[in-house]
Amino acid sequence: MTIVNTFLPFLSSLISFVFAFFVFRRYAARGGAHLLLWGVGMIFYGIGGFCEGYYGAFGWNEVVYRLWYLFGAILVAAWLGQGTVYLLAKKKWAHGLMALLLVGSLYGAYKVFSAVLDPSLLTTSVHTGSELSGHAIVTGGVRALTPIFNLYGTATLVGGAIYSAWIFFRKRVLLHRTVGNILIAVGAIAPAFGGAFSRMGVPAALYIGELLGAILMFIGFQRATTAIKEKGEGVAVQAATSA
Amino acid sequence: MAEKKINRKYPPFYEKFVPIAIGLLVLVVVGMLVFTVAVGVGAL
Repeated sequence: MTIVNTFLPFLSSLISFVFAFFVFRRYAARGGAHLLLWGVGMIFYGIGGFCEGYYGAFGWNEVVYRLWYLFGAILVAAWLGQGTVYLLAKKKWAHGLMALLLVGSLYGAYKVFSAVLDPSLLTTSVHTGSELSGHAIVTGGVRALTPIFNLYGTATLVGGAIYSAWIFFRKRVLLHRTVGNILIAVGAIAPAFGGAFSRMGVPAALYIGELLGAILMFIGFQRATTAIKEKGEGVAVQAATSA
Repeated sequence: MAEKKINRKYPPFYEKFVPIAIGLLVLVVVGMLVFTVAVGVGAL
């Protein structure tokens, strides 16, 4: 047990759950499928972090591993991205993609919970086994699901945040939304970067990336939903769009 | 009466920072997607 593989993921988990609380509170006040899905996505993020911390603190547990792979590795980015789809795309498209995501998520859950696992394989890669990775999954076709979900999630979540930031910048309105969306985009990329460095054998890269991602997305969300006071006017610029 | 054109501007720092940040993000995302697909199809 080290600080890196226990404290970092537990902290990511805590931040994610607090973030989810803020998102759900906004959803309760304003409604909006995008907020609901972002909240659910952050719960998934928190579950993933908790499972990583649990593994670091207490070692292998089959159920915890399956939960980590399903929520932390497969679903989180796609569900967050689906929230952005609801914010930016036409309802018809968003509903269609949501239906696909639901079916895909159920299929993913079935595959993950029926997969054969071998924890000894966690030490067969560049990892030492001190951190969770997908190597323990023996059954074919399970790990192949991950890039599909994550490509969709990255394209929609990061792409949507960049697109929103650009739109606000082009119109030179709502500076807080521009800055907030940039932070959300950077935060959403951070775990992917961490994962890439982790696969190259950099210790703790994934957990650091996930922690940075949770912090930056949280700050970005708070920035995007809190108006910046303009100098001289003393009044807050009112948000014209809902997010 | 002719409409007065409004030239909105962000504060100077953000006028420079935002396009650079967005440009870098686009480059990173496109790079990541290309890399992932390339690895997926076995090109790398």
